[in-house]
Amino acid sequence: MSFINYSSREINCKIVYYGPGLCGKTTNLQFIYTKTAPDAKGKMISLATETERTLFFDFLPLALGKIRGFSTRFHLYTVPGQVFYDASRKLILKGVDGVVFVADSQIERMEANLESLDNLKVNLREQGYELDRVPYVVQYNKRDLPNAAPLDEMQRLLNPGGVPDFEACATVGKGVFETLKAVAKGVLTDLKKMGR
Amino acid sequence: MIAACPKCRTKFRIAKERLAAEGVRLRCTQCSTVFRVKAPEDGPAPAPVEPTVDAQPTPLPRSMDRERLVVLAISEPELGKQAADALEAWGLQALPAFDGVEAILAVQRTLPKVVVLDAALPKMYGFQVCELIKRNEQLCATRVVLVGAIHDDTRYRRAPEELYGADHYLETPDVPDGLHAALAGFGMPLEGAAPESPTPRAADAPRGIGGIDTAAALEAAEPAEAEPAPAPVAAPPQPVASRPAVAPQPATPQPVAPDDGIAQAERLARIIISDVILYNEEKFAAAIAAGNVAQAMEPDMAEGRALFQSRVDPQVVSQRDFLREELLRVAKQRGMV
Repeated sequence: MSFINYSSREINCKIVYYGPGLCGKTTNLQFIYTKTAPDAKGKMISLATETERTLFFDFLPLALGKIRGFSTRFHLYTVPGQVFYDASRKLILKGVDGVVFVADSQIERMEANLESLDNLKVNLREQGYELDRVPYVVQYNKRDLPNAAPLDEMQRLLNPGGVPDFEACATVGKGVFETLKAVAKGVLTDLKKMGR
Repeated sequence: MIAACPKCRTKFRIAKERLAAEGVRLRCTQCSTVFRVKAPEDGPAPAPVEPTVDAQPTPLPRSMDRERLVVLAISEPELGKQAADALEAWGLQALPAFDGVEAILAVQRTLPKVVVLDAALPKMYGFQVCELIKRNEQLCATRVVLVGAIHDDTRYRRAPEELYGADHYLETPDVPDGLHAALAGFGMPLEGAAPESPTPRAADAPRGIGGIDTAAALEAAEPAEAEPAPAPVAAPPQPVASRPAVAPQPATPQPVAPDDGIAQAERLARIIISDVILYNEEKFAAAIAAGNVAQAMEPDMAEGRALFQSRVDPQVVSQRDFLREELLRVAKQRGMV
């Protein structure tokens, strides 16, 4: 849930990048980090193994300008994607304001995508959220790979509700900021509704 | 000379000649803590204490109960005071530490039930302290609550590179209230009722916050150093055209029944093995070449096995070794003889 700090006039929102192992969640954050001005971002914290695989989370604070005198700070997190690190995922989902589901387009990872999406729903439900009521977008990553599944098939399986979705190649940045903008828009729209 | 309040670290300049032989008592103007200041003795300065993982715990004073003891390492004085007050209200004992070195020394000395570690501690990051604790057999039973300092992120000068094994994670705005649930989860004897989340949240926002200009905020969402990324694909990324909504499928239930569970067990095995191989590609390839896939990969399958057994009905689990079968199937697919 968004945290509003009245003394420092800041609105803090938490966005979690979710998805199966090695789908490109950390790569998304790294690209955002490299393309953001130093004064708009904090230090990116990456808790990864020696082989650079996320074990707990990545964390990137990002300032997105002012709204009615309040600075907006988005805190971007990733979760460990491996199926057996569920406890960490549950912790990181606490207080989430928006979710990006990063799907791996490789056809052999489709089952892992579905499992991760189911796991996201289950873990959100444990926290009292429903996926269709949380600002949520889908990113189909690794679209440049030759073994990428057809887009319409991925949409049918992973986005039956028709939330905003984007094709991406996070290693070169394609679709990364479009995804972030869409989820940020959803979070801010939600904030607006709650403030009424 | 300079004296620092032991609780909030506020520093005071004191004329040395005003100090009596036994020292003087001072009250901190910031946090009202009373402390004694003694004149420094002449002679060589004491060597700085380096934390070691071999230090032995010392007997606790009678007033301290290890089961109720929480080492509280939070660098921000006000937040630390709030947390200490909350712990005392819950019938616990807070032992403050103001930097990472103090925190690890306090844990070694007292073997507390729980340590709360601010990620951005001076001298030694909370992550590093957590790592030291979890690597040490004597200390690893101490539960670690890691607190991410999201309001002062510029203090992170070096990114931690590994997970240090914290048992719980909280964000700064959730301290101290979120600590109650965490400590209760560790089985600590808490007194009083759980706090009712008095922290101001968006839902409680006054009407003045409501009129958020989404468009303006989204303008700001553009990368600050707008630098077009090299696009390997000709068309720019576009939101996929809206399609008629289909009813979302329900989430997969966790346990599966024995009669219809084989297919789901096989599916879970495929997912687990896919992860294991993906994260150990080189090892898997070497094992295929050596023809000993099952033995070589077994150590990497422990977490997967635990998950599999927790999710699949024991009757189904006992029928076959689903994970091994799937591992060998993929190995053969990739050329193992």
